[in-house]
Amino acid sequence: MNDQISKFFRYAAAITALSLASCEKDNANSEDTVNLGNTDRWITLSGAMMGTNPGDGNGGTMVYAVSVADAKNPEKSINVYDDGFHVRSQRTARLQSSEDGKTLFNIAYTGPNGGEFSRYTVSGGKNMVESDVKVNIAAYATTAPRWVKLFDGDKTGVAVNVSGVKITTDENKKYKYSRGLSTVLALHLKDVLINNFKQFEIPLSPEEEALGHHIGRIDGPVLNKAGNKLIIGVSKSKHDPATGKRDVTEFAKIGAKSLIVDYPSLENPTIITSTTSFGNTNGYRSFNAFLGEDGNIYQATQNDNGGSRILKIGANNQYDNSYVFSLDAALGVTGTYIDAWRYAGKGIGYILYSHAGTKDQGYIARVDLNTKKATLVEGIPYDVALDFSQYQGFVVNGDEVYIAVTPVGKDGNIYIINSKTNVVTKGAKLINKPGNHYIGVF
Amino acid sequence: MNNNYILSILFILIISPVFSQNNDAKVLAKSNLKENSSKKSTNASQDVKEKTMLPQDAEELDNIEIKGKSKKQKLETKGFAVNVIETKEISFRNIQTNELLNQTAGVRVRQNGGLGSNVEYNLNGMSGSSVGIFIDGIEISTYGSSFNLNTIPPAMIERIEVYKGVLPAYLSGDLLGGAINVILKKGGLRNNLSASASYGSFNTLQTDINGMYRDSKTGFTVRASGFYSNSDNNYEVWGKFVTNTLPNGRVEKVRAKRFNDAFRSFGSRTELGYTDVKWADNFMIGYIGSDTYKEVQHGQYMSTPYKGRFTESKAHILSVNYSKNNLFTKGLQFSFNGVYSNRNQHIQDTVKWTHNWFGEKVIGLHGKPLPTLNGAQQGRPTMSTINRKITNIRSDLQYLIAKNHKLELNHLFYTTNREDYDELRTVLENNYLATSAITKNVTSLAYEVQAFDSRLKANLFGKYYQQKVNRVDPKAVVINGENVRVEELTNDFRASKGYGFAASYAITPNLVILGSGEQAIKMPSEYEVFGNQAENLIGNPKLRPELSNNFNLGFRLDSYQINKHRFSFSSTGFVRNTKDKIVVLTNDRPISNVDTFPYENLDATQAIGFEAEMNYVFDKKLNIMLNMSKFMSLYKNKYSSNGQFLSTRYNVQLPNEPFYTANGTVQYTINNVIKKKSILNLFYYFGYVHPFNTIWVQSEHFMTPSQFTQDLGASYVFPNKKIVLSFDAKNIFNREAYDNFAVQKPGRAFYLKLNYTINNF
Repeated sequence: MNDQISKFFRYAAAITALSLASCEKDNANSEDTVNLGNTDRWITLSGAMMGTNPGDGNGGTMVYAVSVADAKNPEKSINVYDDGFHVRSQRTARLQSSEDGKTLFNIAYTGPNGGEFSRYTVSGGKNMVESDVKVNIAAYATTAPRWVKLFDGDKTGVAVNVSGVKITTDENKKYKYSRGLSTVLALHLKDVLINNFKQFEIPLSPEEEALGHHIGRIDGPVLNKAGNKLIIGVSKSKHDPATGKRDVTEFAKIGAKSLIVDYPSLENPTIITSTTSFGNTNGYRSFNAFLGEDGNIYQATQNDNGGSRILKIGANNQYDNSYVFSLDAALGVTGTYIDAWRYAGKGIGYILYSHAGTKDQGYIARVDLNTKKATLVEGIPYDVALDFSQYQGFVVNGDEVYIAVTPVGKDGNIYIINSKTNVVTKGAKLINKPGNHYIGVF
Repeated sequence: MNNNYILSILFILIISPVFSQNNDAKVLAKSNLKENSSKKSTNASQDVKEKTMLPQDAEELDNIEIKGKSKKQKLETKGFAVNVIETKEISFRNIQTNELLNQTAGVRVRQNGGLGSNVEYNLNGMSGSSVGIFIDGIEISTYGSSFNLNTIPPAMIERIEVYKGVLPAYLSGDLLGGAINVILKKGGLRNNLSASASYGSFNTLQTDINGMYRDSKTGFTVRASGFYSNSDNNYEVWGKFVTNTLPNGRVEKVRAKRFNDAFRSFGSRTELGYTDVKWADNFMIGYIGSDTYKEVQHGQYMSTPYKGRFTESKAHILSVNYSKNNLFTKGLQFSFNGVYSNRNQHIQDTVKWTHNWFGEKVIGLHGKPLPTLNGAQQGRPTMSTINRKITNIRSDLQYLIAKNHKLELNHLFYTTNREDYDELRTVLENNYLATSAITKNVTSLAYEVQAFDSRLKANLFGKYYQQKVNRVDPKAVVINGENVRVEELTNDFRASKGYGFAASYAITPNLVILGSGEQAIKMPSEYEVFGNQAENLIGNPKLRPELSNNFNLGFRLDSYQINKHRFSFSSTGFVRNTKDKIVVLTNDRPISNVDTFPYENLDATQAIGFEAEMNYVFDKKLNIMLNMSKFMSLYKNKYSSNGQFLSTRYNVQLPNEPFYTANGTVQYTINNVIKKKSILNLFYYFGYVHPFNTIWVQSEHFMTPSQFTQDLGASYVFPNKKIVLSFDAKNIFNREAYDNFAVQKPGRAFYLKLNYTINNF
């Protein structure tokens, strides 16, 4: 009996071993294999230095580039603050990188060179070679423009801005509306030129305007599947029509909105409004909306009623109000706020968020846009000082998503999450300094 | 307020106590500042020494030992860290008052462009409004931007006292960084009339006339002066932020002339009264009127040039001055200065197109001119007016308790009411603009003692500060369904105490050790709280008072002589520990209006450093002066409110502060050139400023590069001593000179000046 049993196990083990071995071979061609993407690319880390308060990130940005192998190696240490390169921006640089990681793009945010677009060739370590031609878009979009790259093969960057919000009164000197000048500008990333720009004053509905609502900021542009419309996130502000000052009372929020313009002409601005969300759709320092393989655009909201949501904009460039994805509901917490997120493909995204009751502590969730499920990513050391509110950069390389996780003032690591398996791997150590934190991988 | 007024009059002043007590000190007068000290024997407290001779007018005075010290030396050996700048000689040259200050040890003049632009002073690491600027002991803000050190020509100035750190009680106010006290010419007791005109590069014309008449029988005295200045300030700039943007966005470095920086100013000062009569040493009623027009070329940085933005300031000022020594009883000295000022400032910015450095409209990508994003050059269109009514009353009582013991009581009352109005804002917005008033009382009590045969001089003082800020913020409140405008009043009252000492000890008559220390308070000033749009400054109503502990220790070696060589040397080390220092930082927050500076409190800062000055004279012909100042001005807040260590800021040099500067001047005198009895003076000047960062992070790009500029000059005194002709060439090698946040200063420039003086008419 014992013999039989042991024989059985021996056979079983052998078969298992064989099948495993054959599996490895078979799987090399199957769909479930890990796609490691480009293993020769650079992985550039960026760290934000504190300004007046720890974690505010307003003291400028340092960057440092390593190989994929080094980025994945937990034995390696990276210290952008002592070893890195200061990106030319007085306040936090707003970086973007080329898909192959070889080029970094920056638009200086405020300061004497605010609005200046510069391009750096990444050559490892602190070695960033700046291109000799520069473009300044301050005359079009102020010295504090917001911008992102389109997913069009590193061809175009789009900078947006709202400025000069002013109050118009009617013939009885009563408040009529507040409107600013919105700018949408396309940058040719390779030639370092302005491709196109348009400026317009965009009204909200007369009812909304009468109450003092207006567009405060725009940000987070994304190109639709047809490639003929840009969808731009909108942040709403409100004046008190009685005084013309900012309304600080509790008022009823109006529906979440996006600005849509034709592409590449940037003409015909229109506003679309969601009925399922009352948040803003502009994000903060990075992308806030992504085009899925299904042709829909998925857009995050902030400052929403009942926590952040993900909204769907269909191929018809209208909100799909039948799509309701509340992060609060999916995660079973309240007051969620999406600081930054990144779409990783096949309906999967990773969200950096905080929620009520945890004092802005940052968490990472994996979301499935198709099933509207969200789960906390396990295996990341969630520290009370982890704050993603300034977070900018994710690298999606094949199936792997790179995220820099450092609590403010504490060392951390790069974490590499496999978007298919959700397996988390700890990568290189990130050496931090008091008050600072890492805000991106590019 | 009435109470305060009465109090302030009752309070006693002790002014310039020490000056009068040095008669017995025997010191050689400085050879190049020969002055005929005809002192009054009765403790000439109001300093009615006459200094009427021309510079180098020394023939008859050769080798004469003059007993008594010059005003300069007396002040400088009193214990306070002070430099006294005699403007007499400089007034014949093409030198602005601000340039003169900039050449002084430890003083850095921060100017946002050419002649007439906004000025801030940095005294050994203390800056902003913690540095007091006074005209005859009255705070300069009383006079407004049309009568300040930009506009007052050196010819109207008797001397300038620069106090670093600790201030004597008679410079009343809530100040802690030191003070610059400009003493306007009193003209002595001798009738005189002088006039000058200077013309030079950038169409810069400066003229002034000064006169004084005194009826020796009745003591009736009239003093009058006037000035007119204008400059196009169209100097060439080529610094790294001077770029034009092409339609496709490409950036091009350019050399261009400033095109919107013109300055025009005129003003007059008239005083009528009695001097040196039985009932008053000085009783004068005066009027100052002034008007200044200044274009604004750019904001915080030079990146975006402005067109058509300008400010216009007017001021009408009435003053009453009274002083009397031995009032009622021997040894009691009283002085009173009351000033009422009505200031009006207009700021206009309505040009809607962006301009490049060639003064042309910027053409956009689609071939059309680009409108500015906010409707005007700096922000939204504005035609704004700020009206201020200021009352400033200073009273000082001194009493000589016994020989060498003196008490001084000083009181300052200051109140300002401010109203803003912008024609281009909607009625709605103007209705809801805030109005404000600040009232300030500062009382000082000082005790001064001399001991050990006047070798030791000591001054102890305490100060009590009060400040009240009233702010009216209109709000809309819904009452019975109607919006009603309700005024919300904010009253902010603060009171604090300060104290300190200053002492000096003369080891030998020539070698003096000086030390001073204080705890001082500075209340946020009106423009720090409410802003000044004309000067790109944003107010911050949340500012807290600044508190500083200042210490100075130094020595002076005066007029040490070997044969024909004469040396003097002085050096002072200083420490300033400041809490809640009020500073202007680069504006990195507001998104809509990034061309302006906000004021902020820095929790803890420390400035520690030293300055040194050396003077060498050979045979009264060659005079070489060198000075330098070096300090560290560090952020000292170690932990943030949540207890985290502030690594990127702690012990880091504060941005935008030149911390290492040096100046040198060489003067050579040749007598009897061309004509007998004429004097030719040749001058050379250099100034060095070490590179300094304008942001917190060490970054080459944001570094203001090192600066080294050199000037040459010559002045010729005609034999009759009535006419002085002078020529100055500035920044002769056309080097890049910078100031605030890399704002470029003028390159090479030439000026010619003619002075005419009549004495004793």
